Amino acid sequence: MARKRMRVRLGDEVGIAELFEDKAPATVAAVWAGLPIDGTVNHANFSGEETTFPCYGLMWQRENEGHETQPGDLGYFVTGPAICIYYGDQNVISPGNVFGRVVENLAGIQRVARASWKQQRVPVLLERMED
Amino acid sequence: MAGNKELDAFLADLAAASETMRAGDPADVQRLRRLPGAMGQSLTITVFGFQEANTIKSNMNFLLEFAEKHDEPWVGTVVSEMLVSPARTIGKRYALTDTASLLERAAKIAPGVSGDAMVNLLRRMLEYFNFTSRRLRDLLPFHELSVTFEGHRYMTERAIPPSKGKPRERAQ
Repeated sequence: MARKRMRVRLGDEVGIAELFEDKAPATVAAVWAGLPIDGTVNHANFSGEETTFPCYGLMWQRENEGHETQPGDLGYFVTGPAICIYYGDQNVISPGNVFGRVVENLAGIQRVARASWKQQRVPVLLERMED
Repeated sequence: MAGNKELDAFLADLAAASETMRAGDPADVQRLRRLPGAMGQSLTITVFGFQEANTIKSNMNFLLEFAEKHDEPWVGTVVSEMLVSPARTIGKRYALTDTASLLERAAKIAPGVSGDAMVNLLRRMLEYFNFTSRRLRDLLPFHELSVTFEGHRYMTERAIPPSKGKPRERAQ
């Protein structure tokens, strides 16, 4: 079965993410139900190459917490609540529920995510891809 | 508790305030931006205001986990007591008076709330402080501050060597 897919618009870049319904079914269901989700990102201050944005509480359970993330992984941080884009090397301190991964245009997403360290209020929008 | 009109009214106001804090132009943030700190600068007041909002958010997370574990009538009293002091601080020191007012109302309502209603109240409060702390964090240019900080540290620790002996002795 094809994985659910989501469009990740970050600044002027658009990436496509696949969602991990097998590893994080409750988180994927909660995020999917909450889409579209928008906001502005802040670069992480502690954990490395990560940018995040706050959201309303989509769920309150921990699931598939990512202590070793891959570049492009997406997380839902329960105690934020926040959506996290792990775009590079990570020193995970407070893990999020890893629920998907950017699989197309990761380089573009990485470029804008890295720039969010210097630039405030970069817009982000997560949208369903129904096709 | 279900059917608590005061709680329902508060949650409606809190939802509106959360959305303004998330995507609008909240008056609290405008006030903090205009608030002068010591020596005519506003950096310190902004940094500490951001940190105060983060501390309250951490307390909300603690209280939320606490309320999820203990469905006891006295939990509301504990929640109330933990909200009173930060309400004073955040209003008087950082001019976040709308936020202080929300905290004061929550503190007043909390003793009469328990169970699922308390968990829901704390989740909504957590969301509000989540958005608030991010809006205050947006005021802080951490990149520029870090460049200045590292530059200052370099100058004081490396570029200017520590003195050895008295200046007159070195000159000889």
